[in-house]
Amino acid sequence: MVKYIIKRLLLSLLILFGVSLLIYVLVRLMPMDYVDKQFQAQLAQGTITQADLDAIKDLYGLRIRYEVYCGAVPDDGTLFYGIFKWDYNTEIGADCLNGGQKALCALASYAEGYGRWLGNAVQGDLGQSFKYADSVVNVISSSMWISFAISLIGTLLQFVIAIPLGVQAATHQYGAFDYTVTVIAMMGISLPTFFLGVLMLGVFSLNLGWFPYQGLEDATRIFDNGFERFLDMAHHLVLPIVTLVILSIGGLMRYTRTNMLEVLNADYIRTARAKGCSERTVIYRHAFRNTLIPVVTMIAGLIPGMFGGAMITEQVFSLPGIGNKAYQALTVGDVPFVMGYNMFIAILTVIGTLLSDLMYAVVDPRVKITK
Amino acid sequence: MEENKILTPEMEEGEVNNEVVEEEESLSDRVKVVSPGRLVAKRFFRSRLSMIGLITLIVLFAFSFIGPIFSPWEETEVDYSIPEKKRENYLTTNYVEQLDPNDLFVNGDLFACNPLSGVDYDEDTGIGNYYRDGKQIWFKVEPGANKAVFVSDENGNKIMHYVIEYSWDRKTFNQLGKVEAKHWLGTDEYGMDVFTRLMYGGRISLTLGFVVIILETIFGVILGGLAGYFGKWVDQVIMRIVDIFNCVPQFPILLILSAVLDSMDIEANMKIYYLMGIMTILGWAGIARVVRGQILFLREQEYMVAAEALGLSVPRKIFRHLLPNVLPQLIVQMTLGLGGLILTESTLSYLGIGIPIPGAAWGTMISAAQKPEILQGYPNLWVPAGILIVLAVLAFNFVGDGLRDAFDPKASR
Repeated sequence: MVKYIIKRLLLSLLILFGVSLLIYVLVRLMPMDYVDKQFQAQLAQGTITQADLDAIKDLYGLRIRYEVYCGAVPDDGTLFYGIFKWDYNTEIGADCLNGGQKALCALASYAEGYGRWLGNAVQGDLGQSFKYADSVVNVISSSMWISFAISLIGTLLQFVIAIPLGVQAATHQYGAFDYTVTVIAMMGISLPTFFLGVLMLGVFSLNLGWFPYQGLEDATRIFDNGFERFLDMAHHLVLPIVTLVILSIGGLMRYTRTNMLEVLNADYIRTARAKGCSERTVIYRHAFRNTLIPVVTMIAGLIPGMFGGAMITEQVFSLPGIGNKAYQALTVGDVPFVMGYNMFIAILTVIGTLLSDLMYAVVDPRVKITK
Repeated sequence: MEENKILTPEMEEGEVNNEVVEEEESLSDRVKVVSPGRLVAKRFFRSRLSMIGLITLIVLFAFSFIGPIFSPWEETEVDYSIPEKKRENYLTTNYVEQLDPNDLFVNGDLFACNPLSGVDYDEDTGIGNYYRDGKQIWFKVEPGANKAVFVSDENGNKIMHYVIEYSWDRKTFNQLGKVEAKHWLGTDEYGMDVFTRLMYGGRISLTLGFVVIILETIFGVILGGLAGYFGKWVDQVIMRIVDIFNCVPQFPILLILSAVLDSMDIEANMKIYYLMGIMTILGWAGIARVVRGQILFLREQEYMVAAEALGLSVPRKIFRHLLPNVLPQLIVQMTLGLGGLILTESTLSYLGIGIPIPGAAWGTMISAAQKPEILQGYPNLWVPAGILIVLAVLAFNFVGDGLRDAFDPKASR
């Protein structure tokens, strides 16, 4: 077991390395004029110096002055040595380089930038977010909890509603109840997040006026005490949470139903029936507990979604959660935050997968971890 | 099905037992022989939900691909008629201020920059004002001219400094038109027919879904097949790549890539092909995983040992004996995947990084609801598109589920 975990952890590191490399290359391809625009004012005010700005840009390869040796002069073939500075982005001084050399320089600049990013990241420094003017780690850890609270409530509601319905559907397979549950579950799965969100806003917020339109709290109100503020937040969060629950309920319902059906076909259920247990005992003592095995392992798989935020839902409802923060950062090209957020999600995914595999072995004694 | 394939080479050698044939004949007199394919089809067509899904799909396809033929409007055709009272507000500004020779001239295109943005302007009197360098500048708009000169400052910010002969007939097209016989679902902000655009939007979503799923399957089958069949280091390498793609968050990456595409100045109508490529690259890993798992399982089956013993070549073993048995799983995966792809595409279009306006896509049409006044006052603009997305995804899910049940040999019904 310990050996297996160690092996999996090492593999996870390898995977994370691959993911970070992939994301870094993609992020480097993004258009970069945002940095200049963003820091223009600060530069004029003198709050940061040109050297600071250059250091930030260097880290993400936004300003690579690369020193290269030029080879031979094409005309007469005499060797020509020298150090040339080449601005990677504006291609100043790149005239003497041919395609291959340029590619090599680009590669070198990518490798150098990535190495520096990795060096910082390993020490827990994900850099400074341009948009939020704070360190990426701070922004993530402060906005994470709003998303977490929303999805925790959403997930709890989802489990409370979906599991009983799934069990009922399985016990009445091919009945009217089963068909209704299946169709509703399928509709939940088929609804686009943004459409449901927009629909909710239109109907319950704009037309009926039951709930406030977007945001986490009423900015125009001054709250007497914390409890009032909490109530206002809760009022704002009803629509997003309902949206999340409707969207996710279908999947869990179907999952429960499938597992329950599988369990109901097992030999021990027949045995339980044969020895004269009541239908209630068969279903809730024998079948239901075994249905929970895959469901429990599924919880670990929810980790990335819970901490990583629901990007589209948060965007539609303008909630200041991490998903919306990331979306805003993405639209303006906030390179450090985008990079940090993606890595955050990747790490959560790796942990989630590992935990759910381990949970499986813990919950179900029939599963043995070998290797 | 599997046994037949293994027997085929032996039967070619002519060692067919006559007794067996006679027995089969007598059996077939009494019992109707149903091939596995027929059995699957029978089970599939008996399921009510999958039939509903199939019919919905056929209707949707007809709507999107045949419908536009009968529509009097084109995808991006603007209705220039004015429905009720005729309003003609030719906005034309006259010479406002002497030009500064140091300013940079940019000849403005009609839609490149709305001259009235950032400008306080009264439509009825034609008098407006704006601020420049802290100085309030007044101008008067007069009819009958059609050209504009914009001036930009050093930072490239467009400031309406000097406008001549500019005309923009603002209300002469049928903007946000009512639901009527001419426009079954009204017109959008740009005066384009919503109902017609729904049809063209369906073309985009359905075509994109099919192309991407086929490409994904090709990649997934090749890589998953290699991993599953050869095992060892091939498996290790491919599966670690699959793991990496599994850990990459999809939407952020799609957003990054679309920003990259924007910076590359790609034509709007070419963007969909790039989108297809990107979605394929991000999506093949799931199919590869399924194929690999299935092949790992099938590789250990007795009939594969038999195939080995018969000395069949590797391609024959893979293409004749392994892949046909992966096919049922694959078809189910593809059908269910199609629904997911339509959702992804529409979400991207909603976020404004998929199919850009004036191109029609269901997601793009819903994005109009980001404006509260449209969200509240014009549900005919965005609700139908949402319903069509739900219908399409639901139909693919129903069909996929029906196929899965039909292929399942353990299914009781």
